[in-house]
Amino acid sequence: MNLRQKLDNWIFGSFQVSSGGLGLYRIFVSLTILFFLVPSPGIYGYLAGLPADFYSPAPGPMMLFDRFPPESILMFLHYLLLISLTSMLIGFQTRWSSLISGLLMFTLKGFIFSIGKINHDLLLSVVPILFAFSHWGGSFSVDSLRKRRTPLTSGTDYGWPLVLLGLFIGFMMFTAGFPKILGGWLDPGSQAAQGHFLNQVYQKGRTDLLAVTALHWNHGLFWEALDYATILFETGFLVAIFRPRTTRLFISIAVLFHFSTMMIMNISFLFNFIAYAAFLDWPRVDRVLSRLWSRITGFTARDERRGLLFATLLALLYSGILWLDSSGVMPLESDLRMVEVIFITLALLPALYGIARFFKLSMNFGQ
Amino acid sequence: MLMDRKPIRTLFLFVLFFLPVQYGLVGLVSLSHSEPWPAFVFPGFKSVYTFESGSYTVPELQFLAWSDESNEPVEISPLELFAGIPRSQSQGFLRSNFADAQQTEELAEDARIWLKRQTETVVPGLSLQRLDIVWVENRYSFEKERGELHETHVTESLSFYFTPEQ
Repeated sequence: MNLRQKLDNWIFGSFQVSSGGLGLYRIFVSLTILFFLVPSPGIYGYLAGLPADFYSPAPGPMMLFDRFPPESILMFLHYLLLISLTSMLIGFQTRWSSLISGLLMFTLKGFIFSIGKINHDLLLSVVPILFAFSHWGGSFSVDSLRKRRTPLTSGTDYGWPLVLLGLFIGFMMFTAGFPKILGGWLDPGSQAAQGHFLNQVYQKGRTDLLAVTALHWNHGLFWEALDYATILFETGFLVAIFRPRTTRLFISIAVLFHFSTMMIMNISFLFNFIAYAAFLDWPRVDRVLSRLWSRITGFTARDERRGLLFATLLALLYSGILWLDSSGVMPLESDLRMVEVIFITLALLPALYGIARFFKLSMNFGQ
Repeated sequence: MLMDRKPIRTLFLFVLFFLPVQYGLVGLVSLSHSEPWPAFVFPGFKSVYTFESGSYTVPELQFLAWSDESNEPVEISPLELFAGIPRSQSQGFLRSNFADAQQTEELAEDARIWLKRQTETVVPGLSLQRLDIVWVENRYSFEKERGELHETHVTESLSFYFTPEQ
């Protein structure tokens, strides 16, 4: 097999997708961003009122500006973002609404990060832009009702956006692991993870969940093992992405990793979960939903209205999470939000299932 | 419906070339500036903190507001003074804009007046005459919950003076 065939096998033969599965993922992404990840509109007035000296963009395109734009412009972009995300949700002009959503999110984040501190949530913009070129508007959408899209049958040819997203994630994980090796994380005499943990507790006041308890875990071997495991996971991701099964395994481990850092360091990285969710077995989710829809309504399992059922159930779940967040059931002192705690804890279920499935398949293969 | 594979293959080859190149650029730019944005990188947390056994040093920025030099100053936490900054970004904001006394001294007139207005909003009734910005290092013990403050060491300080008309 020559290099081109290997490349083709990787790009076009890795992930099984279906029109219904992609449609469900589109609904998931749109609702998750709309409910939890859109910037809070309260920040725009504050940014616009800051003096020009506090406009400190990172090297890049935001340096084209010399101060924050007026609040009216930021609010206008914000409302455009809400409209385009809603359009993406219902699948109206899906390709354009996905592209515009990604670009608007990118622009608004660019201004928010120009106070002198960037966050690493680029995947939040990348996912809608990348999947604009998949067929995620082919089902459960206004476009499909207007016959703008031909629903594709299941296949791996159309799974290339997942492979590309996996490449982005794998590479970005590598950029998190590689500097740690250079920085001396593997030196047995220094417990780097513990140092960062103490920094989170004392400097940033991140004392929620297990943080205070972990202050007493003063065992060098435990923290050193965390140093090694972190580097192994982050750098190993770049190797894992060349096979679909190991990609899914590392995505599942990533969820466990974020859950652990949330529990100990109160850092959530919720925005990454939009990208991780792409690797769920969405065609299977769609098949289960089809059977359920058929049983409940008596309509054919191919009935497109099951997308509405999925959107309604997800919106109800998210509303419940928001309600719990606002009710203050579990008050948090750090900048961690209750929404993040619930969402990431729920994400553990598919992650653990993914890990169990990987080992089950590996054992079957071995036999 | 058959899909044209060629443009997608080309896209992958471009990305496979682009990702390491942009990472190299991020490394180069970061030597003299802050990390570029946007970039396909996650935070590296490269630093390895060393701390004396049983204690941990944390840098802190203090803002002291004086209405009359004969009175005691009112201490305002950066989180209060810059309440509109998302908490996850507040430390980065302070590092970028209040790195040291030399950088802070260069703040323009409108930025100083903005600080005055913010201070007077946080402390109602205060007519600010002087704002001290103090860079300190706090040494904590991490044996106990939330740490116990052992020592505070002032590294730098700077004062901005205001007239009632400002």
